[in-house]
Amino acid sequence: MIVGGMMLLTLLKKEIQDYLISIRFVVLLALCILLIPLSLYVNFETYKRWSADYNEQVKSETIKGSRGRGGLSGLRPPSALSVFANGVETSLAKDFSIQSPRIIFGTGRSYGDPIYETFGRIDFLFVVQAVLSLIAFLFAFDAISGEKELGTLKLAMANPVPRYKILLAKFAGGMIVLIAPFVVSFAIGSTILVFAGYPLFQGIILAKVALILLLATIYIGLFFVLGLFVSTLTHQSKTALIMLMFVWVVLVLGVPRLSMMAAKVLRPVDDDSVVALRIKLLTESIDKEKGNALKQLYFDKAREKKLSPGLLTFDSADPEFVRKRNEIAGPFEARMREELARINADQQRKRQAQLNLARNIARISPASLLSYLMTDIADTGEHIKVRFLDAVRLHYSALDRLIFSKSYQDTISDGNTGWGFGGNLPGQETPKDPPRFSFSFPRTAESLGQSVVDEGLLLACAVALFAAASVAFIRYDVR
Amino acid sequence: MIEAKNLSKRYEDEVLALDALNLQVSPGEIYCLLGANGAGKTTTINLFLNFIEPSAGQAFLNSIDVVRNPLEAKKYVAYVSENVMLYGNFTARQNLDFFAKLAGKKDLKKEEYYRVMREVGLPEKAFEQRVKEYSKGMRQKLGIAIAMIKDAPALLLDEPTAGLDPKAAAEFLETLIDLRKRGKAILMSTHDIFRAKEVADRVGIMKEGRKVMERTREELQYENLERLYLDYMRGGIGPEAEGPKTAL
Repeated sequence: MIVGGMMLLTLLKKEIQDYLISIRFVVLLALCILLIPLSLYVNFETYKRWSADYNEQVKSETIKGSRGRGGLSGLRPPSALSVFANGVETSLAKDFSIQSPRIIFGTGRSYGDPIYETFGRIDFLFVVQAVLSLIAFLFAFDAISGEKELGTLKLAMANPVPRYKILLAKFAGGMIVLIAPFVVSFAIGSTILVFAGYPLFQGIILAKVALILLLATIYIGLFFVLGLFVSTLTHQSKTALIMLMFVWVVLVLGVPRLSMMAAKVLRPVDDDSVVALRIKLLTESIDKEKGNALKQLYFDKAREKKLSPGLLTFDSADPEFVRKRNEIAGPFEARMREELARINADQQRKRQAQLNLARNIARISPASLLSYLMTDIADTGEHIKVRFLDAVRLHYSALDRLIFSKSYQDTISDGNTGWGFGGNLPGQETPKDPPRFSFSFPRTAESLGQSVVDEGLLLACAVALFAAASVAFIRYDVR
Repeated sequence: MIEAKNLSKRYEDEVLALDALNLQVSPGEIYCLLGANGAGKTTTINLFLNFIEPSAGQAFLNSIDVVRNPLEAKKYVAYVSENVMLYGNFTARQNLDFFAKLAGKKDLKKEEYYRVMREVGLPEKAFEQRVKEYSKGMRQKLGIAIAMIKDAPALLLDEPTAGLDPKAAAEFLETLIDLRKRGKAILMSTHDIFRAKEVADRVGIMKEGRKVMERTREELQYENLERLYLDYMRGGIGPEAEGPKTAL
């Protein structure tokens, strides 16, 4: 009698042969070869354009010296890994400007084509998440139930074959046939990228790409095991297929979208434009109060200096005037800072709570987990959004400490006429070369660390499903 | 040797599919189990193959208890089902090769596969033909070839001639006779009374899970098996002593 290893090899060889000569394999091969290199190439072309735009803007701002004006604007560089997962790249602001005390964010990047804007774009993440998960199901749905229908399972098990070996061979055989065209297509796509000028070997990009490939493999494996599990629960491949199609729609199309919708209902957060309007009204209101409080001081100074009617001045040469002005304006300016900080923190807290809830709901689906993980590694995920916004706020705080707190901006009104005064407060030194906005992408370990829960869940899901499929198959009625 | 001792099977829905079956098939013997649908024939075979577990009693293959040591017991049995459906995209030889390896046969040469396929009456041109192009008769022949290549001392056949044309059925029985000559213990369930009478060394009639009658080849020379069968089907379900005995 043959030893166990030989038997496993026989079963494995048969599984691979059976898949290789099936139409399913042809479909998989065609889709992988077509979609993966094409999506990588097209997304790289877009990234090149984004990158060129970014570099052009950096150069232009440096020449114009707008950074010399106090770093009042900043740019967000595109992520080179957006080629693999677009993520928030098109929705997150590509730049910002500061009109103290407000930060005004620009628009996101565009694909540059109305068709893409309307129908969305295929990236590597989509190919894995939607297309390959579906194909994994199509590979697995009849693995057990189909052999039962055919009668070959009975015939095989009339021999001294342990059940676990049959399942193991089905898993390993299916995975080899599924993953091989995927990896080959990925290698072809990556080679095309390198020849087209993609910086694959620059910095940590290669490590991150390897991580993306590993995640994709785990995800495809998870769907294949889920397919095997459902196949072991059914006695007709038709039933297994219908069940799996339902599961696919729920996991891939339903949960990821519904999670955000549910979070919006359960944890409503004001739109950013509403918050911006609130800030605008608040600053205007405090400015007005401050102006009213300062009005008498300015009018007294105009009388003292015998200015013509209708003229007011900020007398920087008079230390007493400056002291009184600061004494009056100080509490208003402090209140303004406090209120703005409170509104921003409140909005940030609510937004984060909503995102956390959405993320927790979405964890039901491996498709959502993959999105979170892959976009995090590709530096196009929610973490990047938070990182960018934090960097902008940090930059604002630095400017506030170094510049805005050392300047004044007063608006005086007597009901009919308005006067505006602004500039550096006398005796307050501001840096000639204020800090420039800088933004860096996280390192691989950092990206992974941020999503460690999701990574653990994805792996645990795959292992648990394989265990469930094994238990179900041990109890499977082969008759 | 195929042996059942008080073998019983009660399903979860409380249906008693097999009731205390005692049976012994010796090497070089063909035992035919006759009975209507639901009589317990296939349940008996499934119990021997450990596809289901008995509620009571024991089943032995080559004196090995199939419940206690199923993998060891399966080394000594080959099986042919009612409707052999193999891997359609594989050729006959590839199918034969796969099942031979599962049965523990390794390093078999192509000629050995061809020899077995010839023995069961498959035409030469079909050896490397995809099985999805086979007729039912050809598939059954390939099924028996798979059983033969295992060279197990016991054979379990579950209505193997069902749906076969008379010529194919006759050829199939010739193969069975040949296997008997080689000392195989063969247990075959069938509806085909005439073929059973032709090849069986012993015949058992089953009804509602019980073996109600058993006759040897010699005894059947003096009795009409068809009449016996019909009488038992119409009559009570009691075992031998209770059943009618109809002389010719």
